Amino acid sequence: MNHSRPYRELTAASLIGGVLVGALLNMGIVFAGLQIGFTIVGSAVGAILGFGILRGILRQGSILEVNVFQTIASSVNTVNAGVIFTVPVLFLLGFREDGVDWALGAQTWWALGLACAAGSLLGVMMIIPLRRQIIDYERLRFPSAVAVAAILKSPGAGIEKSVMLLIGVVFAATLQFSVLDWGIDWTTGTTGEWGWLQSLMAWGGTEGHSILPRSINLGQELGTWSGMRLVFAVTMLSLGAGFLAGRPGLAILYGTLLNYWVLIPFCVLLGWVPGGFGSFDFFDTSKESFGTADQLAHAFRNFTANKVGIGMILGGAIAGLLVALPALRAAIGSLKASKGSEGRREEVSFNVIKIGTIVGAIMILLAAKMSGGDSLGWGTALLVTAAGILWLWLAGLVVAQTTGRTDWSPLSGLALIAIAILMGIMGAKQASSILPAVTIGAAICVATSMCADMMADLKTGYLVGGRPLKQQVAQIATCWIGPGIALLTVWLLWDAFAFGPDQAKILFARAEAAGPEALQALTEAGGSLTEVPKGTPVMGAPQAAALDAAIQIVQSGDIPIGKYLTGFVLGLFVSVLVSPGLGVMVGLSLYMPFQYMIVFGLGGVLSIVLTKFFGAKAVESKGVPLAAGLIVGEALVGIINALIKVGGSL
Amino acid sequence: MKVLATLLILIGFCMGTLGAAGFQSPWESATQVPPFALSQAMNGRIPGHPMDDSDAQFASQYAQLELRRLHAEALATPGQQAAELLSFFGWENAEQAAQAKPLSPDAPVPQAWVQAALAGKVPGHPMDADAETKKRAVVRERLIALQEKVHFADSDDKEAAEVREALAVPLEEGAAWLFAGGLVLLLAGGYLARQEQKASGARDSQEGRKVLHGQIQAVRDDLARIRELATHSDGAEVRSQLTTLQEGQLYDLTSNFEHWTKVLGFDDYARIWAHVASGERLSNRAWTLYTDGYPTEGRAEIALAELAFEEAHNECIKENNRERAGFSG
Repeated sequence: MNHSRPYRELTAASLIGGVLVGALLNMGIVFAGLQIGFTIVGSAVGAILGFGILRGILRQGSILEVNVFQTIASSVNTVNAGVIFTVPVLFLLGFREDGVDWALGAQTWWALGLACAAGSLLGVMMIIPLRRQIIDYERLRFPSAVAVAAILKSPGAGIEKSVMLLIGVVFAATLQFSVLDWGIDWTTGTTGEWGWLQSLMAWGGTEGHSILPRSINLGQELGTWSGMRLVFAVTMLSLGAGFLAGRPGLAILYGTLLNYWVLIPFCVLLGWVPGGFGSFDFFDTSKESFGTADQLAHAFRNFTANKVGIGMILGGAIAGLLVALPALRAAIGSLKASKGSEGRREEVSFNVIKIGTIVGAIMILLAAKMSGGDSLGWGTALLVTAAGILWLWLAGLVVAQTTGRTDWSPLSGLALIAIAILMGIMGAKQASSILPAVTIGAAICVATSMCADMMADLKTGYLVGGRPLKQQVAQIATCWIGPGIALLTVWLLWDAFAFGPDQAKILFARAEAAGPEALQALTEAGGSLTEVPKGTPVMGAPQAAALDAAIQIVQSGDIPIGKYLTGFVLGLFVSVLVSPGLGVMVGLSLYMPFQYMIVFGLGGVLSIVLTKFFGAKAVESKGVPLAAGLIVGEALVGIINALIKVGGSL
Repeated sequence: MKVLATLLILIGFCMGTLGAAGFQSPWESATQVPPFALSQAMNGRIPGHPMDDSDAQFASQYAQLELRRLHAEALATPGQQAAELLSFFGWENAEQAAQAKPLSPDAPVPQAWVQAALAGKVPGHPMDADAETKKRAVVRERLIALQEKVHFADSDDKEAAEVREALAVPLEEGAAWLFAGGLVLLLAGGYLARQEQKASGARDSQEGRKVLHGQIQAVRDDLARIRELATHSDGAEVRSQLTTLQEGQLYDLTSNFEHWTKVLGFDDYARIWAHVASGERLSNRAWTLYTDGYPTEGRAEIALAELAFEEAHNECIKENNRERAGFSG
């Protein structure tokens, strides 16, 4: 086959199609994110739909055109994480203050829109100079990016790899289907020959909402000590990501076991745990004790581990940057040159980055002033903007590093620190500082999610041979779209269903205000002060609730700086002295819940063991497509579930 | 020495992290009280926080606390126990209970219910807890209320400032020593590891550079061969050869990048690897173009990949010359 037409890479079809698919994913994932508290990466789904649309329907797509398609789709989609971790808190705060309902003024919405679009642009601009360091030199794995590349390469990868990919997809999709709640009562009609299904659900304690539980407490099943945590999430995505990450999985495993098997028992022994857990018996094997162990693990994570962990991640990332500073200078130098060593321009020029950064900074400054109103002077607004951009760059680097190594990132934790810093600059005790702090915090959170997404897309591009320039241009051209869609979706969801820990109360108050008929309709549908009416999706907005609590802590002046700083020093030391990525990895394993990290770590161990027995090439040719399939299958079903729920609610 | 270094690093890191956990326990939320603050209060060290209540008074307050908790739980999780409790209070359903005022936070709990709880007659009410547990639970609740009050008090309120100071938890006992000890062990382990690395690095460096140079040359030569092949072979054959290169020689070279960083040091590694990475990406691009059926464009990309490896090869030569000059100098 010899085509006469030029090779298709960045095209109108990939741009328009990518934006449309990204918008759809964005809305679905905002909805799911407000329910479960975390978001799902949509790159793999974008790639599959890209193939379907460009090759299946339009019959003209090339692999690299689909790559640009998925780059745009994930760019439009991924920024929703930045929005849902921050913006909903304004509604929760408003409800707390007024007690009835809350509607943001038009100026606030414009300020938020401007800030989030600026964050998105700055995220792209800040991460481009780091591409060489993270992808070329450090060769971070980016498990999801490898999975997307496996999909893109499937037309030419050969039958064996395609079969392995498919097996992975089907297995993970089936498992994820069994774990998720589809709004179906599985207990109905599961007698007779389907009786085993009911037994399975009884064992998992899912009460028929899903076939399998989200996690399995193996320790409780085996009757081990309740303090010796052995809870495993039912997730093939984590296992696949750990497998693809390989050796870094060991660092995650070390950090996870250090946290739960060493740190928590010693802290219980020393009494350094939140009040109420001081008398926890590590060796107890009763069922109640396993319940207490769950609560203790959760409380300890909030109380200590995620603070020390995030400090460690920051220290590790900065250490990595210090080690690679000369290389970073060289990378920026190569951006300044008109052409790369390939004889053509491979990345956007440094001038574009400079102009983009200045435009983004001005937008953030205006957003800060708009949201702060008369209570925020131009001088303070400028200071807050400068601090915000500095933090944005650092957080972007951290998130790109953590995503590159594990697929996870401490996005919400970094947003919390950002908002604390900004409130500190503006006067933590002044209520007027909250709105501008959350507005710029939203910009930072959007920027950092964009950094992670863009670096992952560039990694996929590297693996399939895409030109970074084309992906960067596509991302710059469309980065402003995603925040607008996410903001609009949050607003619509608040209007339709409300969200947050007080969702039932808000709906009750709305019905009361609307009159006796509305109140009667609500009670008839099972709604009350504590229960949302039937048919209304429960959206606890857990990240926004956490941010709400954090704002109260900042206002009270009781920020645990000591924990952040000591974590930072440890992360810095261990990264400089032992291995540049170690602080980031161990910090992340302190930050994240045990059940996901242990599965990730075991994936890494599995990869090492199989490499030892079968050799690296066998693992690369069979294991990598299988692991990629596991990631794709789980992500695919997660997104379908979110979209079905959105469809059912509207 | 390697084992000792690893051991020191592991223990040091554990100690350091444990020390970090004892730094500045926060007032995380309304339900979590730092242990230090609780211990301060239990020992009567918080100004304005009396601990002179009798055990009977603490038990009564504990009974009230538990009644409020049970009431909230009964509303949140319906079931047999909740129904029994609601019936005990004389409510027909959760809706009626939710709107009842006697157990709202700012209203006292009726004495008759407290007496019933103390007598162990309230379903699910755990009055068999020991006196210390009851006291701690009550003090915990008092502290939460006190903390909320003083943290939002005016900055010139001296009494509030005193309480704030007593409640603040800068450091748990022994945490600083653990942290410092951990850092010392980490430093010692890191130093030993560096020494070990230097010793083995000096042994491996010359040999390692030769191997790297050889591998880069081999990839470059293979790309030249595939480019030649591409002039007269079909796309499938060229793509197959590219796959063999990517899974063979190129994989051997790139999968050992951590080793090359150690052998060369990061600066020299980055200088060479900038070209290796470009070459790898361009060979991936060539593979994709052949898969999509664009052999002419694919061949051009193979040539560019070859050029990138040529430049990496030149960097290796420059690097070797610098190394020799360094040794002779």
